[in-house]
Amino acid sequence: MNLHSAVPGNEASREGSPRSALVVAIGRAGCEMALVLRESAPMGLSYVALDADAAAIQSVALPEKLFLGARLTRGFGAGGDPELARTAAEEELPALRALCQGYSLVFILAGLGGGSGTGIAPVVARVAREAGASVFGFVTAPFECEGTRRQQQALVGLHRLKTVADGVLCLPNEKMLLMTDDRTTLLEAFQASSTHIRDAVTCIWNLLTRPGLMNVSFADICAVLRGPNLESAFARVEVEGPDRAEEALRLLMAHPLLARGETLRRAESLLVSFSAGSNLGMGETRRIMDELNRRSDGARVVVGASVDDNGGDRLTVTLVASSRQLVLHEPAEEPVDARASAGASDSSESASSEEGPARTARRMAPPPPELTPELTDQLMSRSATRTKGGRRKPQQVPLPFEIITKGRFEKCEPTIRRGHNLDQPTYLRRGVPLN
Amino acid sequence: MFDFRFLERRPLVVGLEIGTSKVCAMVGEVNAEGVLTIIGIGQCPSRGVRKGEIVEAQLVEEDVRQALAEAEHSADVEIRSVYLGVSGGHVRGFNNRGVQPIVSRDREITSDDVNDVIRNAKAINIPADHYVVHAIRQHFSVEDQDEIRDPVGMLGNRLEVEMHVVHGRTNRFQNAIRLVKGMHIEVEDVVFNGLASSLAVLTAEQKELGSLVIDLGAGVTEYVLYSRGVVKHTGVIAVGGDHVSQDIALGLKVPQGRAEKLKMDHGDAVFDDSVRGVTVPPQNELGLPERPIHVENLRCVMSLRLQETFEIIREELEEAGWLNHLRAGVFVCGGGARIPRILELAERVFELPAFPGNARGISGLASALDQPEFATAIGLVKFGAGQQRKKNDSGRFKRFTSWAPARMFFNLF
Repeated sequence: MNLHSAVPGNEASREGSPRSALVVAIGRAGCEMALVLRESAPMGLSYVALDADAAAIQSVALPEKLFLGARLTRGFGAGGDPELARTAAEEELPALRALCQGYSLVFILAGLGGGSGTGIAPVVARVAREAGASVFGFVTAPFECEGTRRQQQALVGLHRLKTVADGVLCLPNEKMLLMTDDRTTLLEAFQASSTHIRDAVTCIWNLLTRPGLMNVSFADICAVLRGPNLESAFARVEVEGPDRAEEALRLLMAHPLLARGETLRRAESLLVSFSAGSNLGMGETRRIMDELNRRSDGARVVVGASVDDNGGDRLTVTLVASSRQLVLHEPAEEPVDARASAGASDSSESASSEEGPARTARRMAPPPPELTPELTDQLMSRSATRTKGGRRKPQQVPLPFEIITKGRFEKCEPTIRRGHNLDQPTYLRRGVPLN
Repeated sequence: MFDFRFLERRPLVVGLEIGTSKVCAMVGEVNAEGVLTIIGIGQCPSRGVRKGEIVEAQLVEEDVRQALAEAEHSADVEIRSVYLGVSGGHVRGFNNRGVQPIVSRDREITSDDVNDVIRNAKAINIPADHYVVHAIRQHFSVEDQDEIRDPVGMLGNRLEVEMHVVHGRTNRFQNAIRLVKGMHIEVEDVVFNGLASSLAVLTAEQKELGSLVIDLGAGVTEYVLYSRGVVKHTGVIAVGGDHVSQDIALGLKVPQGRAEKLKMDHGDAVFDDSVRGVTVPPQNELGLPERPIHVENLRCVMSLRLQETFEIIREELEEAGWLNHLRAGVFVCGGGARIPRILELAERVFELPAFPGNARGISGLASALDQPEFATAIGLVKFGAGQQRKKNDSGRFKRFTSWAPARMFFNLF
């Protein structure tokens, strides 16, 4: 299967133009990721760097660059203000449009939480979609130690991006800590998250372009990535030898990012990609998939297998598990059981009442409506007062989901069916973007 | 001269539906041949009902009073008793089986045995605060012989009956009943709205073939499945037209009132490419400018909600295993049946032919009969007429059997 038949609605690309996918690296973090990605160099990707910081963008070793906000920021960057970055990007709309023209697929790489990535990414996604491309976002959320304000900004940016992109994968950097120890340098930590983003992009790119033993359609990938998932975990294992299926499973289950299978249990959707020589056996595929299916009961699973003749006997399994919650640190005492508490927790809370430990994980909740600036301010001020309140360990504040007014159904008992609150609009629950 | 016609006791049947969008009272009259005619309607916009359940009794009482007054006026009668329609997300239906051993020496099944087995089937394990609205007998079976309509007089060791039981929370039903009784109006019986709609919409043949009736109300969606002439499955989903409006209000960021109007004027059950880029003229009736609305988004939001509602029904029926028993098709009634192309959507989801659910088999005010939103109220009247016919028949029988010497005569044998 190749991309040209997979991407719908772009006649130009069907003719076989080689420049069919564009990687847009936004901000410093995005550029880092793009550089890592470029090293491993999957074929057929073009790169462009975007930033509001003139000095930063000059040092980036990417061939094509676009500097935003010459007038607005005078080249000093957005200073961690997403609104400023967004305005800067909107000033350059024609340039962005020209950039995306002719591509059928646009990957957006960005680190959320700061100014550039958070503010520019949604604008680029919108422009690219308007230009007829399909847009996937690959973003990271900041480390917890970077402060609650950045976390909040990241959340807001993530939601904005989700409403305009075809699919978004978000990798919280905090998860990287699970793979590191005290001696890890900061550089290594960031490098690790870039590597994971690279794996994810490569995985999806391979699924779309390599000849598939098990075909995955573009729509399948969109369906997995589009849902109202907030956080994704990537795991990539490479195994060789006669017992490679068992070995792969063992490595996957031991993978720190999958939290010993806990992540699978929480997952809403799974994307599994096998890459091996043409001797990939049905038995091994089935063994791995059976185990994964068993562990991620009820999740939506998309499987793809592609042939990689250069690898010899090597089997590469890449797993992308997306779940609802953005859990930045693993709960210490008891794991959150999303399934068990879904029915009970969905019912009664409103934005104001959900604080503290009473809040449990909920399996189905819609992505939020677009945040107005007032709402954002309100959220931010709330988190600010909270830290002032002297809580030692800053908690991830509740996601701004229930800002949705219940309107007419405020007074009645909610209609819950299989953990879904049917009073919430269907399009929100299914994550269908409105333009 | 005086008009003495009011002295003749015309057998009146009144159906009262306290719905989420409207309160509707339907007056029917049964003539000497037993033919039912609708002679009057009264309706009033409903204010105190959400999702089919009363939330503000005071408002509901006013609305009911007004609807009844209008019905009395339009039919020129005095309403003393009603058949009350009930609904709500708490109403459930399920199938149950009752067993009764036949102990008489000659193994002949008597009507007492039939009553006993039905009583056994009714003694079911429902929550303590639930009340059985309907216990509909489906089929009897004697030993291993199934599908028996009337087992009296047959021989066997064991009599079984399949029942369909519809039950819901007693207190919620009591709210409506008390409210009506408070107006000094007798409640003859409570009827599940979905069942009433199906009575109005389906013919005997369609019930035999297998049909699904979906009543898309404002607050709740009820569905009833018939196969081989009997009710096999009933259910309520507390999702209705209000949800569609609410979704539009949230999705397009317009007030509820405008959402309602947009739904009426530009709504459609099916979402296709033809509306891409079309906007609603950004002016209201007064010529004041309004924010333009993308019809594409409107239809997308609406279509997703309606499709989901149908899909939920489909899932429920699939789980219960009845989906393959539908041969006559799907009938859509209630206010939702007015949505353009709703039948197309139903056909697509159920993969069955879909028809508008109009009331059949009764005569009367033409304006009422061919409108899908009156199916429930007409069905209530139809149910009531059936009950009264039964009551009259058994009344005659009772008079006969209460004649003491005759009973003694029977007892001798």
